[in-house]
Amino acid sequence: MVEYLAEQIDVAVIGGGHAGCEAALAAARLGCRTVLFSVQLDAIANLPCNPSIGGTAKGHLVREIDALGGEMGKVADKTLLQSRILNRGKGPAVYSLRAQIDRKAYQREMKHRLELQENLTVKQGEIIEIRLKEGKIASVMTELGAIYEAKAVVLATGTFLAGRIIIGDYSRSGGPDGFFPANELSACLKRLGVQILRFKTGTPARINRRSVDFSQLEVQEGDETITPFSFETDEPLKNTEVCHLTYTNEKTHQVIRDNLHRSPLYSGVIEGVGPRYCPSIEDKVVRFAEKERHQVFIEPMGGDTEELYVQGMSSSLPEDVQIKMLRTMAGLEKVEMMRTAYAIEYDCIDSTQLKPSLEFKEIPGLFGAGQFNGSSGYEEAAAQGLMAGINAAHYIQGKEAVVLDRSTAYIGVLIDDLVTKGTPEPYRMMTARAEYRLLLRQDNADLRLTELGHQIGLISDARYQTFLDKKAEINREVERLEALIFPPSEAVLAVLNQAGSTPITTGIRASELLRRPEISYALLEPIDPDRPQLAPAVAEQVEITVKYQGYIERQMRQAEQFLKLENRKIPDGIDYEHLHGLRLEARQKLAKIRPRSVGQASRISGVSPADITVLLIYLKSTKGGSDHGQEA
Amino acid sequence: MNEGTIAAISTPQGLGGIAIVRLSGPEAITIADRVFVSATGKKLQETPTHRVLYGHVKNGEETVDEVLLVLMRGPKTFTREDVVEFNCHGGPVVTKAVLKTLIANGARLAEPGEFTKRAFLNGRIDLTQAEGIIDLINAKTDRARKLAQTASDGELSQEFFGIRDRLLSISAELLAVVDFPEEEIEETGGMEQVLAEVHQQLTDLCEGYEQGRLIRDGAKVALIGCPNVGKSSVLKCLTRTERAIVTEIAGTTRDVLTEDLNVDGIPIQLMDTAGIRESEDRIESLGVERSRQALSEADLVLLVLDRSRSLTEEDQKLLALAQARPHIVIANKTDLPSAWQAEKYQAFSFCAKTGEGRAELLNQLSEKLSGLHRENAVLLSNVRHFEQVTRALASVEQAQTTLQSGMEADLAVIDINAAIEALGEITGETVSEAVTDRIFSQFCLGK
Repeated sequence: MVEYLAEQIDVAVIGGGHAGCEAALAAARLGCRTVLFSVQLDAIANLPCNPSIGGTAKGHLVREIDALGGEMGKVADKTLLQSRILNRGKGPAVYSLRAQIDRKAYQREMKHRLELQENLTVKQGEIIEIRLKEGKIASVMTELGAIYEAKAVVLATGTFLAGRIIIGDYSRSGGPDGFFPANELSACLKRLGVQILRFKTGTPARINRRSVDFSQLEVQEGDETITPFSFETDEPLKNTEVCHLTYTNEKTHQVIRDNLHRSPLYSGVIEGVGPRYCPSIEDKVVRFAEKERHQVFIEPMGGDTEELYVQGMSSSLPEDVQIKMLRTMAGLEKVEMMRTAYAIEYDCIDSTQLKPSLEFKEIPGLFGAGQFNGSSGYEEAAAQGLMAGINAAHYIQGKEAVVLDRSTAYIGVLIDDLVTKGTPEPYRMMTARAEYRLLLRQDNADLRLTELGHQIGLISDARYQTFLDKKAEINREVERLEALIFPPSEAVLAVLNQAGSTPITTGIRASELLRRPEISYALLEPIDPDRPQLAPAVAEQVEITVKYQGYIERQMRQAEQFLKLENRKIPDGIDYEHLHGLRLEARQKLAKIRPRSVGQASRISGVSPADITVLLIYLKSTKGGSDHGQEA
Repeated sequence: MNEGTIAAISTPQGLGGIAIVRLSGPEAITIADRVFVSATGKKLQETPTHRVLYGHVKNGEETVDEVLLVLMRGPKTFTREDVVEFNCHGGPVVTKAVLKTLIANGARLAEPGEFTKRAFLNGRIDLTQAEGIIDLINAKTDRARKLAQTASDGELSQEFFGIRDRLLSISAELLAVVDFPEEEIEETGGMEQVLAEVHQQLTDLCEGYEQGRLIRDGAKVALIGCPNVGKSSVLKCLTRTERAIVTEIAGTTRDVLTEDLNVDGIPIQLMDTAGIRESEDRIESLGVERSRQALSEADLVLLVLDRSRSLTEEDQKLLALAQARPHIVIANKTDLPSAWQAEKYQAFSFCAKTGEGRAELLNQLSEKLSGLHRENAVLLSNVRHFEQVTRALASVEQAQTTLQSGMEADLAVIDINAAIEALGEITGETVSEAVTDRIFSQFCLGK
């Protein structure tokens, strides 16, 4: 093939999924000449699996992305069909935003924003080769021989890398949703010494709305007042669609059991490792045989289509079996399947090859993000894309990498897990993974991260000023509530009585009263004439800050303990081979992961507390490892 | 730190039939080969692991001792390193000569507890076990030995693991419910019940601590009283019995003579203010002053009064002092006519001269000291463990308060996790990741 030099650029982003979009926007906004390559421009920002964004812990990620200046939340707000807060009443740490999205509208909106972005070019093309010069990134080449000289590359290939579609005994090379796969790049990465793993995921069938008997389904409405993902969205949002709920039953399970021998999962056709938390329906029926039914959500794919998504029924059974099992369920007796469910296998990497900046340890200038790194989910991908984009720009500009710690953001937890522990299966974010989740709430993502986003340069001065005003307003009101004393007056007692709360006999601080579980901030309004007019987001923040103060403070103390080991840095180039007292396994693991701190070292599987003791004693004896590290 | 090959005499000092010199480290076998000549002429390098060989330790041409050598290659050894043990003839001279030979040939004298430290650092034992082994070595009585054994065997760790496990289950269940709101995960409930049970377990452990500490360190018993009430004869009478064995005279500290004895397996440090010689001036006031000091450190106070004469102002002062502590009042000299009623002060009638009431006094002493004792219970004896268990207990109480007050159950997780962490710190385990794994093993989860 004749090669030609197409362009000299700063950052090449390979892949236009949620990771690629955020990476490209961040790098371009930070002043880097950026090109985003996608095998098919119509695949940009696709939601090939569920038509929704957010959910437990994932909603947190979207709000953090927004607080740092990412795009996902804004586009989701603009294209949502229905929104709900999950886990209401279960504690502020676990409230989670989840929205049904018009997927075509989302794609169009995101693609358009990419096209309008200064410094960014969107280019259809399959990158088949990454070239190095003196061990560093030098250029990438498309399948047509176009060479783009680049200083940094972000790999965000999603499920396209050597993708393979499997339905029953049928299988073919392919990306998601019928797009072409990217088959060449895998071999090139292997030549560069990158360790490749093979993962699997799947998606359920799509059905025609007109073939569903809705009279038999439960309706799921959205929230009356929608909390937007983006801290910048200020116009009110509206629900335009509803979801529905049905269940599998004994008949469904019988169909599956009768046809298990035809499942590629059990016949051995599928080699990739699938996610435990997002199992196919056949997996669920086998593994949880005692469950009589499983929930199935019927979700809209868009405002201008009759296609519906059957959440909970991901499968790789043959087509005839899929139709049969769908038709066993209430409301779906005559269902018409438009797209068949499929499993997809793809190449990804062992993520412990990456630094916490998402740069490959062995290849300066090469970054990885999203499913390529072994994660699963749009939100996880976007979060990594954003950080990889920022750090690619910082790498080029000679600035220090931005790394979030586990007590600052879910993004920190996500990336730390990936680069420290690696993942044996597609990694999904969960609140359970965050040790300090009362600090990492979705409602305070802006308070945690806007400052940093502004420092990095992705948050405008105007937005930063708005943020500072909000913060000051919150503090003022919290202080006012600490000082305000309610007397045991008739009006006050009436409010308490109405809430079923113990009456007071002497004056009580407003803050103290608010800490009672049955008392809300809104409830006290009638007896609080001096209360300022506050935006709902400010009032919410005030209420949570005051109500859960004791818990928040205890969690902060736990986080401080955590940060002690986190800030005990390990100097680069420490020779674990000659560190006496480390067990062989620990020695190998430490040499491979190269943790930045003792805290990170302690999270490596195969490194025991005793090994950490050895490491600490060593650091003390060499006076290595300062107590004061930098966070971001 | 964990460097080099170490050697030490591993059996107690003194005369004995045999003594063991232990060698551990990467060079253990090489060093042993330098000094050991086996009867068969075979080198240790060529000998399979876990064998006993007969031969001689030689220092150059000179034979140091005739020994049985135990060869154990790592990792199946106490330290997980290569270990060689020399069973030499007992007696300090011979044993030391063997040790010297090893050091001359490349070994280094082990620091106190270094074998155990290596076992811990090499992951052979956890922190609690290591602490148990150290206590085992230092055990003063048979009961102290048994107590340390439960720690070194990992029985104590098992107790902590068990409690931690129950807390993890609650935490995992709460988290599964919030992480998968669309799955129909049934909350099994009973969380408050489990917390109450864990609370009881932790309380028991805390209460057992005093008992455990007494068994490990010995109880401090202060013998106080005015001059001439017969403290010395009480002491003599007590120490002369078969049940109370005087193990050694520890010498004077801060003008208080302490003697170690052992009553029914409980080691006792008797702080004997009678040891203060009464020839000094200002003895009246000094007696009170010193008694006060001994009293403040004591687990139990033995106050001796003379029943044959009226109580002095001084006696009354001491009585008042003793009230503040667990105590036994001894009304001594029952062989003489009594000047006051023993019952009035709940005093124990006793005659040091005749030994009358001695058995009863010892019984009471033993009873008071083992007041909290529960047979077969796992006892805490280490102050570090006690502190962590206390922390865990406080956190469990916080979690209970949260649930009772009607706050969201998720908030209780903060304190449950703090308790898990506190217990994990005892055994040196890290715990946080264990939760997610549990979610998967216990629940059916979909998207």
